[in-house]
Amino acid sequence: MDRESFVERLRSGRLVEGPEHCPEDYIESLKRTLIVSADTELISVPAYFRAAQDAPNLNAYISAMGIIQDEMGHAHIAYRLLRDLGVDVESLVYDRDPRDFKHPYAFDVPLDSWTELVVANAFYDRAGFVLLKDIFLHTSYGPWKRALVKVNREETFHLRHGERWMSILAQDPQKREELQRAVDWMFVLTLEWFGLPDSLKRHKDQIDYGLKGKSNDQLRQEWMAATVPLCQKLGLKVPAHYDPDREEYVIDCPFPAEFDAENKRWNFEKGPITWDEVLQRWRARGPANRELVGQLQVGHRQLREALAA
Amino acid sequence: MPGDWTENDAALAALVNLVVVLADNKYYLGRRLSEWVAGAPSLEEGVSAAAIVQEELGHARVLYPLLEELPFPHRPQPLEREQDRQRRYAVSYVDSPWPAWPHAVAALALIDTAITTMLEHLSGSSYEALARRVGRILHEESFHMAYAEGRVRSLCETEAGRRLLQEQVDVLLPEMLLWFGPPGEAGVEALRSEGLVAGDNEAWRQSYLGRVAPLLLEVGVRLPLGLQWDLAHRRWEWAELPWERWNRLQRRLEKAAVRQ
Amino acid sequence: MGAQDMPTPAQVREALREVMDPELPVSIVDLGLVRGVEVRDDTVHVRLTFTSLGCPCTDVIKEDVQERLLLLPGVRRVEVEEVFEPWSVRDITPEGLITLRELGIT
Ligand SMILES: [Fe+2]
Ligand SMILES: [Fe+2]
Repeated sequence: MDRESFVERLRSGRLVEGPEHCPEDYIESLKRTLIVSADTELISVPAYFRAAQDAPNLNAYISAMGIIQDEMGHAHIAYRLLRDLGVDVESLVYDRDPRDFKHPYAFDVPLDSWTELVVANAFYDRAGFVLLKDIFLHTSYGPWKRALVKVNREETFHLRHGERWMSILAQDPQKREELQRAVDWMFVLTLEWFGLPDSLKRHKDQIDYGLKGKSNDQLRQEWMAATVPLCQKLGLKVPAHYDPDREEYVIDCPFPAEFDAENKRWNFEKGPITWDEVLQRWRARGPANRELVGQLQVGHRQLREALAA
Repeated sequence: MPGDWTENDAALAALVNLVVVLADNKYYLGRRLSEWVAGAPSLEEGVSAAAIVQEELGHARVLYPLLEELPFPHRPQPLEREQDRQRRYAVSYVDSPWPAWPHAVAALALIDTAITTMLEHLSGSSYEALARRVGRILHEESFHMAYAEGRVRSLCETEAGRRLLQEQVDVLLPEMLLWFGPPGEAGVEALRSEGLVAGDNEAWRQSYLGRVAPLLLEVGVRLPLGLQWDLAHRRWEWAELPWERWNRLQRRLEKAAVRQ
Repeated sequence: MGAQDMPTPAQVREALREVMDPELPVSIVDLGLVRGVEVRDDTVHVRLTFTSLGCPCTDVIKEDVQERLLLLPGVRRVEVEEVFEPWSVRDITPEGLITLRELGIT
């Protein structure tokens, strides 16, 4: 089938059920999208686990492990879809260089406390939720669409968990400061997650192929529409507000900006930077990249080494 | 509400100890296993391990409050965070993070099963609040047992994997045999006399071995301590256990001899 | 405030139908988690069991029950007691099962 009639078929709402009869670049584009999603779910496992060590009590730790189990399950679902597309998932997960994982840069910045973990559940899981909901509504790939029903349902609990704990912490004067500090660096990092602005990038292929519905800027708006009011309700400051005249959220800080990952601090005083500079930082990866991916690969590698010995 | 046995100081002391021992072992087993969720050899194994972690910790969650309701002066504090209490009532094997996955497999097969064996002897306890929780816990444990068995089998599919498990069984199994206590342990006699527990130290140990030993033998793991089935007496026999290093209060193996 | 002003156990259960499981679009009543309701003076006592002892949502569910029942006229106190009764799919009501089947769960 040529590209045009294939795209035509997708436009009529037909779902693709398998790699047969699909243009090569559709499959490649689908794989790329799936790998980003699978890697993101997977890296959240060691990232959240690290911060869960600071859980204030046993129930909190159990909840965190519940979320971690869900995330690992989500990753498993996405990798299984990749396997069905002919990808060697075992080597994808266990042999890949940490720098080649496709998760967003935000996860390469280590989460160090319960406070940062619950903000991640509210911010990062919300970003994941916004992106996956878009995929659920628009994807032309049937198996993924069906799998996302369960994923999105579980994510709503993660959001609830994050938002609930943020409001608990906001009521404690000391924890409140810590919470604000976490919001300060994590809010802008999540804004960045949605990628280049529409003025610099169009996802014509992904949109034509029904792998994506909304544009980066639209998705960023959707995230802010949920997150800004949440923070305002809790009395937390965020560098964004709703502009009723423009009928959209406006970012109030230099964006994109230079990020000091070691100190978890935005160098706003230097003014905005270019997206090229952001892409450079992303490609160099963040401080926890090696440690977190290493944790995912350790058991598999140890056994393989023992076998080889 | 506790019955008459609350007047029996020896039984009460032993019961408080038993509860904290069960809860602490579940707590630390859950914590240690949680450290291997991300690094499990496959995603499927990680997902199941995460489910078991929540249940082990959930079991600790429902056992700890019993400490607060038992009318006994020196009750250990329930654990919320790992460093909450200096004195640990858990086997030494769960003291610190495991360096490799086969440790997790050994712990699930040998520690979890030991706790479950003990709980089976508590499901008819005259301490009704405990018996009720135990019923529910045992129900969930049947899944853990199947999972542990599956991991043991899959690890032992290769010679290298079996060797790794063998090393851990050699370390852990002796401690778990000690864990059931010396024959005729005083506190246990008090518990038995009040109908708080069924069986005795030796019966528990035999029932435990009857459960773990056949699987180990089947997958080709050698039993340490010269353990073997004595056909004539229809029981498991072994050489000496290192009782001199047994800490009977915290029910754990110490590195050096313990003065009791 | 007299006991006449208090909701009946049936009304309490009706209110609990609005408390959803945090992970499923099914109420805790339809999931079969509510194992008893008692109304004494200005206090409602609810007996709950969970789908698993390791359920990650126990705190959230208890909180939601508290919050919802405190909205009932006359209710000043809500006691949630966790009972350790077994739970299985057989405890889900027919309505609950229909919802779950539509979603492809169970
Ligand atoms: Fe997820
Ligand atoms: Fe999530």
